[in-house]
Amino acid sequence: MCDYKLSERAYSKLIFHAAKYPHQAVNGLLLAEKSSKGSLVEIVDAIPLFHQCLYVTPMAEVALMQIDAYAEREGLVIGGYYAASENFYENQIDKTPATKIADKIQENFKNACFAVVDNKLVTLQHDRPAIQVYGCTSESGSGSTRWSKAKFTLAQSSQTLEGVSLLLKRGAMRDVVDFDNHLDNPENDWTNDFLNQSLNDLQKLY
Amino acid sequence: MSLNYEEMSWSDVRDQFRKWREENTRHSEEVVQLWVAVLEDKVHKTGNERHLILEQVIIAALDTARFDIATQCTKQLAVEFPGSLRVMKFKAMRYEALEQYDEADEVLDAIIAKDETNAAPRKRKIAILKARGRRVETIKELNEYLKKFMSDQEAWHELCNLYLAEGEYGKAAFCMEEVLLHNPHSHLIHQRLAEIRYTMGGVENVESARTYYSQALKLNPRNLRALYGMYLSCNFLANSRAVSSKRKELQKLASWALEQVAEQTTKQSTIKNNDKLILSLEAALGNLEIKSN
Repeated sequence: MCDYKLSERAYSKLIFHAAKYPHQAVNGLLLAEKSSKGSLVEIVDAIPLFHQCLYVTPMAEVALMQIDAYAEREGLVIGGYYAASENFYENQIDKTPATKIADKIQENFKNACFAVVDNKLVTLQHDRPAIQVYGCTSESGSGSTRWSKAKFTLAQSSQTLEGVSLLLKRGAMRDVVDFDNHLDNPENDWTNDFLNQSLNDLQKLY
Repeated sequence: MSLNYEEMSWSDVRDQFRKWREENTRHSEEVVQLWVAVLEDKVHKTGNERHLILEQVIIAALDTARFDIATQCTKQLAVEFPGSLRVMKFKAMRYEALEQYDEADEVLDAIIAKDETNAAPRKRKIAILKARGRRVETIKELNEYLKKFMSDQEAWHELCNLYLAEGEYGKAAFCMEEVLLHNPHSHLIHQRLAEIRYTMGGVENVESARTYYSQALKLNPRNLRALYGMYLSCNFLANSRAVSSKRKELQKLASWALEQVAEQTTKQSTIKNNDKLILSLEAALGNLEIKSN
């Protein structure tokens, strides 16, 4: 099983998405660098997917295919899945919505990770990363994938956490766009290009 | 949507609140901010709407953990309507927000005992069960509730979501059909029902999904989800063991749907080469077709 490294871009988009819809479950994909350096997988970006009706599949199929093509174009690969439960206290992996998507991703990318957002830790003052990352340890031939806790690091940890906290206080999460927003209005850009600047630059905007 | 608090007069805020009440949308943070900044001092000018606004602010304040505001507004209502069950409900909601669920349950039981026909406290009790994470019990209670209050479409919708979370797609479809009976002209409900059917899988369900998607498109030809769904279901049916004449028709429908999607998206999308991304769908699914001419 690998260790994972999350970029500030991926972490901030993930948290903003969860913070934008505090009363609903959200999920999304994580994009990783194609080649892993040794046993370290670098998660470079996050694409928020849905905030309503996570359990039906057609839009998920459409999104996965489009994002696959997008990742290919950017030289990345779909390397993981993240989700946040609707209920504040639920942070176990089996209660998290739509785990089937994570299983599917793992089929395509052996070292895929599953990041579960710990709702209690998504605060206006982050002390530590508000996620638990799981990697896969399935033995070949077994029926279902087994996820177990993996080690992960956040790029430039303290600065990222501070930056994200500040932006949350200033309401930056309202501008993050997920695939659901795109389906409601094609003008919305689910790649969240404007959030691809560094956290420092974003802080100047808000 | 960012609202400029300095420029808004109290009447603008009042109108905005009314709009949000009618749409039944959740803008708790903004409601609280606007209340504190503008409307609180001027609320006596709003006349008859005052009580509705106070109720709206109480719920928004409980949602954003501003218990001071919620208590203050509840007191104002309690002074004007002593002994009112409607105000008692807010007392229970405050306990609920503080996660003192047992106290909240007690108050709600008292309200139900005084008035058996009151639907609101029963629904709050079900909401408390859901908040406690007891999903199976919630489903059971909600079913009991719906036996008595059959035409509550909000409740049917909630039950549908609960069944979906449990993976009971068949029962979820039934609930959504009940919602559809109340809203036969809603393209969103048709589309949601189609999604549930598609998720269930199998030729019959996907056939059913296709008809619901077509109805959604008839009602709103710009529903992007319905167009995508149409494409997916037609493709699935064309690749299953369909009669060859039907297959051609389905393929034509599928490519029409995808064209519509591409047209609508690329007109407005700011993503680079969004049409190529959509065409990737064609590549992923279209390659499965067995050419027959």
